[in-house]
Parts: sequence; structure tokens; C-alpha cells
Amino acid sequence: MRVVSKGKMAHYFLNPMTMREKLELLQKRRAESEEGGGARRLKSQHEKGKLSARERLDLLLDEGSFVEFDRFVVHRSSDFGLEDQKVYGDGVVTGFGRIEGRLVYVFSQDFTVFGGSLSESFAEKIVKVMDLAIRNGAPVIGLNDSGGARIQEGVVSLGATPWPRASYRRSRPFSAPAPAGPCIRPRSPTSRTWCGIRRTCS
Amino acid sequence: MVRHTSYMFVTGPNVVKTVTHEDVTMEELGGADTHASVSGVAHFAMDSEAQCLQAIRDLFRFIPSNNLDTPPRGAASDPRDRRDESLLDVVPDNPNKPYDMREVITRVVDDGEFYEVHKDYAGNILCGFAHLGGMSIGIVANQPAVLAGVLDINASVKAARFVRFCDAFNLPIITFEDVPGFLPGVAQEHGGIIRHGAKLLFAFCEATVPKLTVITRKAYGGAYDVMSSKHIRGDYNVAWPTAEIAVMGPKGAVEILFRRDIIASSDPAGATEARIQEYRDKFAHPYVAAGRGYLDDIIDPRDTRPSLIEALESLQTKRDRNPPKKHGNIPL
Repeated sequence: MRVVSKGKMAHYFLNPMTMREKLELLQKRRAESEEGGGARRLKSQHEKGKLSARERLDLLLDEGSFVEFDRFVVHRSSDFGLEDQKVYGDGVVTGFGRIEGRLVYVFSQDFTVFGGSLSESFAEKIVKVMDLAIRNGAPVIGLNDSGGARIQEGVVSLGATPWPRASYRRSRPFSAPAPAGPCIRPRSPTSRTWCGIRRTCS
Repeated sequence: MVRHTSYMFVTGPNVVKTVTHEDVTMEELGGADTHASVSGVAHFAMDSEAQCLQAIRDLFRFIPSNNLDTPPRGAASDPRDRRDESLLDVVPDNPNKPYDMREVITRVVDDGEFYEVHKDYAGNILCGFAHLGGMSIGIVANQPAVLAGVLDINASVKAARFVRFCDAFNLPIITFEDVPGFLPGVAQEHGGIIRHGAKLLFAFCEATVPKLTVITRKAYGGAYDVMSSKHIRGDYNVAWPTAEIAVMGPKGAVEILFRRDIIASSDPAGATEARIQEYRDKFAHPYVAAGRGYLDDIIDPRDTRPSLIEALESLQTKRDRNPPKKHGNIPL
């Protein structure tokens, strides 16, 4: 067996990127994660008289109070060409913020990314904020703007649907201490749901 | 304990001599330094009684009076939105170079004050109290400057005890993580690292106080899971852009995964280098973990303090429960 000596190997362990370079990459990706589906789709959203997912949160929450979760989440599907279409955040902006100083958890669906359609990871993001809301006794506000389940993912997106997973199964035992999901009706995953912004599911 | 005036043992040097024929002084057998650095029986060793008593007074600034009480608040004079430029220079660019994790902790917490517990015992992990935005917290941190911050038996037991203390007294736990894994070796395995390591895992799992984690560099293997990861109910888990979250480091992984290919190659060094680069590009960063939601965010190191304070404040009303039972069954 031929073994590569440690001495020869040493220089390979020098990380090729410095802290500054890694930070630059992070800043680039953070900026990218805030673009959603891009300028063209955002324009079309505005032309319809609709705000973007982030603009809605800006109006809803106390200024500067929004803390985002999972901005780098992407889907894990490889069917129907999805493997080449990954967008940071995967179509929903989630996190927490304050309304008049009070803690609220939020999710805001982004129609500019896959039509705001619900994928497995998209659903996991929503479940995460719902879980946190239950644990911290804070409300969840959902801003829906979605075409429905992500068809390319097939049954996976239905199985991950947060309404039965979080709203029903998880929040029911906690319904007294935490008013979770005030905008969400836990109906069947494919049924029409309504919210303050736009009717979902065409 | 006070140095040179206090001693503790089950049996003194005379009995030891009679029973085991060992010659040992009072100091060596059960002095303050022995218990603070070798046995772990003492959490603090002080030079004088006055210092010792002052340390107890200081401790009271962080801990509540009982398990239902709220921990005392700090002075909160340190601005909550204070960013720290120097945090960009703490982690060396070379992932194998050590650095002092205390540098990170003291730059993040209020007024740079970190009240360390078990300072001289199992130095590869740091435990202690601090205030963050005026709130009392417990800190657990890997220490890359000692044994590369590896988890061994003593470090696991030290931190497990501390985590349970924090959980018992409503102190949120903030974990700073740079861990290359568990320490390999016959002594560790025969000493029961599996059982003792599980104590730390158990302690973090069962803790229901707010749990926040910052990964500064390495988060490898089972040790990553243990260190208050998202998978064991972490509430707010973030990484610096320097984080490497994987099963192991690129070199170790390549030597296992591509051993045959490398041996068969006409240029083993080149082949190894290419594979290491491939592994590094794929895994030696935080984006895979963040892509799956195992991290809530990847943050600019300079924002660590404001980010932690915001998250900690959001968790002030946290209520969590463990399954009903008489008591847990931590692997003692």
C-alpha cells in the first residue's frame, strides 16, 4: 500500500479561502437570497398591485424587528428539471418579528419563486416557525400567496404540508396556551385556504 | 476551595499509606489544585479566603435563588447592537490552527465578563456564566486551544453537569462550537467514552431552557449532534461563514472513501488533493446544513452579539416539556 506522507500533504490542509473571502461569499449569497424569483417576476407582482413577500413583512412588522430563519434552504427534488432550479429560501420567507413590541412568528409566501408553491422544504420552514410559536406562546401570522402544492415533487409536497402537520397535529394540544395559526384554516391539504392577502390554490 | 489551607478526601494520606502503600501528601491527595484540575471535585480554586468569598458573591450575580426564580439581570450597560470587528480575526484561515475560544466569548457577552466554572479541569471545553443583553446565561464552548477542542470523557462529564445546572436553574444555554469530534484511543474507549459522551448528549437533549448555538468552525460527526444541534431541540442555531459541518474533516473522509482509488492511482498525492478539494467544496462549509434548515442562519461574525440577543429575547417565554416520568435515566 502506498501512503502519502504527512509532510507532502500538509499544504492541502491550508484552507483555500480566507475569512474575508468566506464573508464576501456569505454577503453575496445573503443578498441573492433576498432577490426571490428575480426582478422580472417582482415587476409582474407589482403590476398586479401586489407586494412582494418581503415588502409585506416590512409593512406588517415593527421596523427592523424581522429576524429571518432558513434563508438558505433549498428543495431537494431532482424530478422534472428541478435539480437545476434552486432558489434560496425556496419560495417562503419565515422568521419572527414584533408588532407593537410583541413577538410574532411569520411566514410569507413568495409568488415569484415557483409560484409560491409548497415543497417539502418550504413546508419544513413553516413547521419550524409554528413549532417555535407554540413553544414560545406567540402567534403565527401566515401571508399566503401560493399556487398550491409543488406539482413536480408529487406526493412529497403533500406529505410535508404543514397544515395537518403543524397546525392540526401539533397545535391542537396547545390551542389554549398558544393561538397558533390565526390566518390558517387546518383543512385538507388540497382545499382552498384564505388569508388576508390573496386567495391561494387556483 | 482555598489553596494550601483546604483539603478534601474520603480517606487521608495515613490511611492511603496503610491500605495501598502509596506515599502522598495532603496537597497532592486532596488539595485545592488537585480537586480543581485533576479530580474535578472542586469547581473553583482560590488563593485566599477573601478571594474565595468574593467569588461566591460574584457567582450570585448570575444564578437565581431557587429553581422557580428568574435569574438576576446584569447591568446591561453594554449596547445590545454592538458589533465587534475583531471577531473577523479570531478564527485562523488555516483550519488546523488553534485559537482561544475565550476571545470569542468575551467579545460577545456583556462587558467581556465570562465567569468560568471548572476553569482548570478538562480545558478542552469551557463552561461558565455571563450576561447577554442583561440576561443571565450559561455558556458551553469547545476550546480549540486545548486538544483541538475535542470531546473526551472529562470534557463530556464537565459540560453535561453544567448543562443540567443551567437547565435546573432556568439559565438559557449558549453553545460556541468548534469540535473536531470525540477523542479516539484505547484509554477513552475503555474508560467508557460512549457512556460519558452520552451524558452530554442526554443533558443537551433534555434541557428545556432556551438553547442557542454558534458554530465558529468545525462541527464534525457525532460531536456536532451532541453540541446542542438543531436535531436535539436547539432553538436558534447559526454558523459563521467559516463553519465546516460534516461527518469528518476532508482529509479523513477522503482517506476512507477513496482509499482504493488513491492506492491505484499513478499520482496518489495528486489524486488525494483532488478528492480533498472535492470534499471541501461539497461539505467544508455551512451551506449544506443551512440548505436543510439544520441552521437557522449563517451570520456575519461581527453580528454575533446582536443576533444572539434578539434570538434570546424571542425565547424568554419558551415553555417546553419532557415526557412525564419520575426522573430521566441519564447514563451515569
